[in-house]
Amino acid sequence: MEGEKKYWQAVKENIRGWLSLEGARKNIEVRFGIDLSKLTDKIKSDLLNRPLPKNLIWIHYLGSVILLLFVIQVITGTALSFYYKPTPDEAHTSIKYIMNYVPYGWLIRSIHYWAANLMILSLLFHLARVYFMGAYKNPREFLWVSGVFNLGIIIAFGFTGYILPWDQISYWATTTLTSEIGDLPLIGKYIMLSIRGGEEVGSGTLTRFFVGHIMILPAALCSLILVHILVVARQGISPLWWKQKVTNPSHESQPRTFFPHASLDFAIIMFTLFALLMGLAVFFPTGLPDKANPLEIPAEIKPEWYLLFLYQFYRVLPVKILFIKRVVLFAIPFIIFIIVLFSVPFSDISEELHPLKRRLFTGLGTFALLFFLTFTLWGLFS
Amino acid sequence: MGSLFLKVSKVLFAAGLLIYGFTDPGWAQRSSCEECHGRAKVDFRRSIHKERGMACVDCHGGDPLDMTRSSMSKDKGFLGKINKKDVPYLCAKCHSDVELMLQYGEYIDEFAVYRHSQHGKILYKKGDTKVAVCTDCHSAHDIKKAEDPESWVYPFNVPTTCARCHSDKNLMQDYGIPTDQYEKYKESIHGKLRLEKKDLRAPGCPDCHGVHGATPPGVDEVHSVCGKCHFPQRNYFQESPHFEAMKDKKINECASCHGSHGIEAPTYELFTSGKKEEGSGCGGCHSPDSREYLLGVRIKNDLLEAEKSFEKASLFIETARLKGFEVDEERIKLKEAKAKITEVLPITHSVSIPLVEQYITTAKAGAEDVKELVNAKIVEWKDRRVMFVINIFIFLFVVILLIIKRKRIMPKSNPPTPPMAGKL
Ligand code: HEM
Ligand code: HEM
Repeated sequence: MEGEKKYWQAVKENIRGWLSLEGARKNIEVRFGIDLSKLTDKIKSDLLNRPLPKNLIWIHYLGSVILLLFVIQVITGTALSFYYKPTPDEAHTSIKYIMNYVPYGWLIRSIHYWAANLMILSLLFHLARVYFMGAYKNPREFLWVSGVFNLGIIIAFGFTGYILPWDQISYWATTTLTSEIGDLPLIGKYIMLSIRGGEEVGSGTLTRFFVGHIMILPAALCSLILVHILVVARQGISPLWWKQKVTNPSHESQPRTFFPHASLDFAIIMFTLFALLMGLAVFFPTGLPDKANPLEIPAEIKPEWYLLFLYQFYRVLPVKILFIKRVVLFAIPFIIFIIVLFSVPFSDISEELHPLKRRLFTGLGTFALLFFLTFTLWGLFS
Repeated sequence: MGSLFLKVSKVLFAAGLLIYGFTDPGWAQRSSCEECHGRAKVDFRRSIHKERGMACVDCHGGDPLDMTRSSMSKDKGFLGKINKKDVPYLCAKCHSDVELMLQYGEYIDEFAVYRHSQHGKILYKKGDTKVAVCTDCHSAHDIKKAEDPESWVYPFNVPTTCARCHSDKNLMQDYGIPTDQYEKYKESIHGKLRLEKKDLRAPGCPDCHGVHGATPPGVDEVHSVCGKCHFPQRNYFQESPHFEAMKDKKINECASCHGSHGIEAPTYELFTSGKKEEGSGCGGCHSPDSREYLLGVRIKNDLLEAEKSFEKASLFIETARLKGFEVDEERIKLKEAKAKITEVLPITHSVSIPLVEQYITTAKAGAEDVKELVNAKIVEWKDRRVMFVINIFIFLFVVILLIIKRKRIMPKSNPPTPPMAGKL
């Protein structure tokens, strides 16, 4: 009787020990062999109280905006995956279901759609800013290269996400694009088959696009972004060309820190972005074109806006020059462009940051920008 | 010299015959005709008759094994060129033979029917051989099955085959019949469907006039001809006052309004238009202030109104769809409403206003229903907007608070940086 009472007393003590903050802390410290107070100190000194670089300006938040949008994509995308069914028969219907019957399904989907577009938009801005500010220069070549991979992955995200609703427009855009790729000499057929997962765009395609969209690409992007950001944290952000000459260390008495200064700035950006996303999603919700019909080609096939310039460029190329097919005429400059893109930080090796003092690269960049804008507008209005 | 030439050619001929004989035993056994009648030979070789194992002798008689001119003597049953008048009999020898035709699944009544056709009557009663006999439509030697696209009587070729004679002014002038049927037919709804869209449901010439028994339908037969396909229209027409007028031969049934060979897809205009090149609207017979004409106006306006409400409903549906709403149900409802109009079109032939308006009212009510259903969705969308606009303002409010906070805590001066000092 007495022993039993004692036993229950001990159990009570034990549970209380786990539940109290102090007790839990001790338990964790013992079990995982870490000093939690040291860890929080470390977080405080290395992250929260970390002094901000003096040359940090608003434009440097673009990268974090992409990151934030990616987090939004992961959350909304996961929510969508609960209801989305990746088969040609059910995909369209399941999206309809999401839009009409899942509580706030329409909102989640529209946010996913708009965040995807904003993500690509801010990515392009990030890229342009890094390029024209010469931020890729020694010692940041690695950042640039990992960035180009990020770019590829995000476009792949857009491309694979695009066909998931299995509607007429996306179905035929994908069919057309892949069949053109199939026209490439030698390897074309194999690339086409591996994208389509079969002879036709069908259930095979949908399955692998879905797996790519929600498993492979997120995993790849997560790790790449992690590396990208760790390297930025290690190397610091690059100097600004207009502040290069001025030096006045005497002002460093009152440094800004990551918390609260940068976090506050970021919070302002974040809430503005939330408002923007909400506005876009509510006032311009994603529609749903008719279900894909492999027997009926729609009158007009246009890809998403960020691929429109490539599409338009492709369209204005002649069908054939001598025996060279159009795909080849397209592929050659495209491949050259990719190679040039990768080699930018390795060939622009001067220490000069001012855009007007590195005319060749500023010129190339401007040309690329103008090319993108012209062909995108041309594609939009034709 | 001359005899040498003859000898050489005889030897060559024999050699040729031998070689040919080995390669084509059928020919060697059965026909010497083709030696001279080359053209006929070429045509005949492509025909269904040849495919079924027939040869020249089966129609023309004579002795194909006899290599001399005597093969074509009367004694050997040679018939020579067949008289046009005899052609039907000749063909009928086989084609009316039940035993023979059964194995090919062919009809056997062609000749019997032909004799009662306008063609047959003129041929046999008047002895006028300008009319069409079997060979005029089927050709003489390269006869093909009607399923063969090269056949003159392939469904898409029939109209041109008939037109070969019926568009010939010289030929037709003796009979006092027009020659513009084909031109009109080509432009008609029937012609366009069949000839351009290759739609076999639309009639060619024989579908109205009969095949071997070709005749023009009489005034009071038109409804049975058109009614073969357009039977609801025929049935409702028979309930109308027009049916009586037709029985008195005052009007020519369907054709009075719709025309015949140049028949167009009818539009709602037909209820009010006057005489036209083909057919005529109500205004063609009824004066514009008559009660009957006003009935036409009323039906037309009813129909136009229904169309308008359909258009509006479609617009509503499209708007909701673009906002991401599911509109399948509404689409189906609208289709059902439109089907009421498809149903009422035959009923208009009865010119019974109560019956017609009953359908149109249902159709319009259907369209209204759809609009209301969709409207509920659009209202929901607007409600959503209000709710989320509040949300957006909350976000923006937070932004303002944060900006105020920022003003307070930011160090006043932002000191300039030395080059490459950006180590975090
Ligand atoms: C998923 C896409 C990306 C993410 C999340 C990302 C994120 C970031 C972040 C957070 C920074 C810190 C500074 C800043 O934001 O400007 C940064 C810097 C940088 N990024 Fe990216 N980035 C992405 C794509 C790219 C791309 C496409 C490129 C170029 C091809 C690129 C090249 C760079 C470079 C060179 C820097 C260093 C800038 C400096 O030191 O001033 N990044 N990135
Ligand atoms: C882990 C991350 C992600 C998951 C689980 C996910 C999941 C999904 C799912 C289930 C769909 C189909 C639903 C629909 O079409 O509305 C979808 C569509 C889509 N996703 Fe993602 N996604 C993720 C990240 C991304 C990212 C990073 C991007 C952008 C660049 C993106 C772009 C798209 C696009 C453009 C669509 C088509 C939207 C539409 O037309 O409806 N997704 N995603």
